[in-house]
Amino acid sequence: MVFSSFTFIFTFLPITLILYYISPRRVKNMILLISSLVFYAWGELIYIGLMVLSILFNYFCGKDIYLKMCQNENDSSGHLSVDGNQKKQKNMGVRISFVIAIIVNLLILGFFKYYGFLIDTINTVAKTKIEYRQLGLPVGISFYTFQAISYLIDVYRGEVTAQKNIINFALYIAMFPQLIAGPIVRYIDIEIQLKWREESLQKFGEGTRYFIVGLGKKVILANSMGKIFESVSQNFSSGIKMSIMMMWVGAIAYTLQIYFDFSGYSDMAVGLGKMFGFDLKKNFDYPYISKSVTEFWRRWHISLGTWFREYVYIPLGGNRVSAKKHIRNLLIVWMLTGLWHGAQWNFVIWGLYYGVLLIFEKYYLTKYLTRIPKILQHLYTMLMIVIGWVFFFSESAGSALKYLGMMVGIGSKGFLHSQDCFVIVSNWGLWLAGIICCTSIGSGILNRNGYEGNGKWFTDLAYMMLFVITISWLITDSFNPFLYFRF
Amino acid sequence: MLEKEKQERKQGDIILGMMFVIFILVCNLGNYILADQEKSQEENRSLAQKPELDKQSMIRGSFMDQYEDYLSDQFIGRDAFREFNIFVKMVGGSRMESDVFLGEGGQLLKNITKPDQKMLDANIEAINSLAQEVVGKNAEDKEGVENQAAQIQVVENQAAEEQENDDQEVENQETRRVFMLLVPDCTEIYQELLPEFATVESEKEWFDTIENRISDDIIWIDGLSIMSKYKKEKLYYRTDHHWTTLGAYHMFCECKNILGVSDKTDESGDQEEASEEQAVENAKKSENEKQYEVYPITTDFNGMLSGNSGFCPNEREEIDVYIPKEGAVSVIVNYVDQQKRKTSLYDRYMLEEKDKYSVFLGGNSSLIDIRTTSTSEKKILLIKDSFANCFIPFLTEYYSEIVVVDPRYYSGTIHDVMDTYPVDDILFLYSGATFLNDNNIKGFIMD
Repeated sequence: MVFSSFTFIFTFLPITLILYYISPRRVKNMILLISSLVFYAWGELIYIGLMVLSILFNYFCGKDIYLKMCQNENDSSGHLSVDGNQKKQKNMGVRISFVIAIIVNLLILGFFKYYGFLIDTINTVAKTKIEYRQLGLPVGISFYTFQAISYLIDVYRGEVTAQKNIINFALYIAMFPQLIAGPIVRYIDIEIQLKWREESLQKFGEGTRYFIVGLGKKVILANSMGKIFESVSQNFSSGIKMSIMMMWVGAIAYTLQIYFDFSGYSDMAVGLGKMFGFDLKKNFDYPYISKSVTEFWRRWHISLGTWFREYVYIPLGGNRVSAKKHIRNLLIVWMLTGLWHGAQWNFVIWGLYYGVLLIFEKYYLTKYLTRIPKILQHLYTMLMIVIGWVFFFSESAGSALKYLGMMVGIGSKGFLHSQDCFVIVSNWGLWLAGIICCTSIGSGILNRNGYEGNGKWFTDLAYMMLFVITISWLITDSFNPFLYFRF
Repeated sequence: MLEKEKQERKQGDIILGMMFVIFILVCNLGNYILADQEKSQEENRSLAQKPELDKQSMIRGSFMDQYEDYLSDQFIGRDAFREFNIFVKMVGGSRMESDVFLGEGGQLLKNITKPDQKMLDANIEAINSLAQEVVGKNAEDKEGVENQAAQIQVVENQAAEEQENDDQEVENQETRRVFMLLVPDCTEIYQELLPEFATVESEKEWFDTIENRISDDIIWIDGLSIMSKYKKEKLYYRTDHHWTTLGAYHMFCECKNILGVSDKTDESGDQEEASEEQAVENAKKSENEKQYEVYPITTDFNGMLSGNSGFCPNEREEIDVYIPKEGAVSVIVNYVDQQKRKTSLYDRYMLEEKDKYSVFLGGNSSLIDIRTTSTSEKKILLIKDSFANCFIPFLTEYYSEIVVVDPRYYSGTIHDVMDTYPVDDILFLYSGATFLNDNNIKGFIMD
């Protein structure tokens, strides 16, 4: 099930809310878990078993690692070892349990997500013809596997204790607000909330704000931008020559589409979380107002960036190593980040592209970048981002290069056609709204208090109006794509 | 933040949360109370119905999709939501929805898209081969009479007997002819009404291509020039893609002489043999003489372009019916597949529907056989789309039988039709948009 559907908004959500609020505290998590499983099964009936298995496996692994660590600690405290280093040394049993758990998680992810990709690559490189059956990718597997891994690592590092209650643990993995499109919640951030959290009418209202805004971003802005991109993309793949301007319009439309889609989903997740008393961290922080690529990645998909920093980059040594190793670390992290987005080479290239840019900025560019006018810093950043998205949305590296070529006039036809003006002009409201909503201006207008008389009424009506408009969009337009089926 | 502001903010949050929940519950209640609709008049399509819950559809996931469609299609106030949505989009600059342009002065214009070249080729090829079969045979026969050797060859053939039979038939009949009339679409004629910067494919270029590609056996009627000539009049509806009865009237007057029909007053037995000059003269006369009474049968027509796009939902138009001032013929209209017979070309009940253009011949049917009390002996086969529906009434006075086939709905082939209904002439009457995108013509002609 996706959030931007009638089934979710008008059937699933009200039923879940009613059940959740009428039930006593001790079964609330159970209610939330069952509804999450229904939510997942609604679109992915077959793979619900996989998710349940993953939950059980990780629950027991976490417990196992934790118990062995406790034993270990008892042993070492029995020996009265005072040496800090030695205390941190974990015994073999813990290590083996941990490594096996991680490997199994990665194997499951690898099998469903990267199996076909791997064989394709082998076939291309070795010129073999190994045949395989392409399995459908279970929705959200990348998100929940990463959550499970973060849990195991946090337990292994001794930063959290293992979750004893299987329902709470299952809820951590499968909670429907963040289940299929993130954010990737770290166990450490939510551990206490699973056991103890407070719902309130005010929090519910706050959640409603997030949800309405997120839904609006997804349905109005992302879907409409998606339509524009889709038409350009179709012409491109059927070999119709377009003007330079149109190629830019297409790339910019995609840039806006993916931001509003993804951040819209995250907003809805945060909002839904609040409705059930959870506080999730924000996942996007106006990434398109960044003044450098480094800043962009501090603001874009924050939960994924955090995950890779905490569990890959820092363990590899981070930046506290020689420049050579640091560059190696960055490239590894960014290649994996790319690969996380989909099992295709263009995602790897997209990741490495950012890796290289970040290294370049870190070691060379920043000192110059800070000296140029701010507007140029913004332009440079946006240009790099748009180019990045071309690699992201293209089928292959070749087609990405072809697209980029047409953006600078190689293989395109003319600079601007009348039809292009039509696309730009007849969507002016959309472009304007898109640009405003990439910055904090939109939120500022919407949430501004201090209107004469009663500010809250004006704001509330504006939100409800936005919700009604969004519903009208959902009724009228059938174009409602789900972009994360490859994640 | 001040304490007061905090308090206000809190109140605002609570009120919003309440409104949100109430809105959802009210919508659900409304959806529950209101009966499900079968069909959307506004969009001219059937709406999704409550899906049956069964194991198979659950596992395949089709139940979930159907349920979503059901909720969306039967949502309370759906039409109002759509209207509101299009209004918001228009404010935001939109001048095209669902491939329909909002032209100047509220003229709705359907986008002209590039046809599928292969399909078009196949259609033309099929039509050419049909013309070869129908018209070419006539020529062959004539040659045969003149050329002994050729006839011997024919006699040697096994088909000789058939040929002779055909010869006799042909002698009795006049030479068969195949006409082709493509009516340009509104968008082609009124391109200057397109919203600023909008461009469409040129139907003219495609028409020219087709004209060049069809064989000489086919008589091409230049519909584009004819329509352009009367451009200042209201040839098309503003909210519908069809031409008005006035448009059809002008077209009919202009191609009367090409079709070789003329007014009853001038009619004589050997009228078909009249030379071209005479025909032109006749046509000129008839144009002056033939007069129609124009009856508006509705002034409440909001067409399908409006329905599909959502633009101009409040615009209302008139539909006219043209009845000859004198000597109107009686008709029996036989809807073959539905096994219905009617004595009128017009279906009054359709005026209660959204798509009031269907008043002409009750909308689209696969096969209609119209017999008239016309004194003419001629019979014609129309292979057509819906544009023909308001054109056919003009033909009734000049043909004793009009067979109307819409290949999009007819499952048989042209040979089935011609075996059952022997005709003299064949007329392909299509709007450009349909002809350029129709993938049924080839299958209809070639088995």
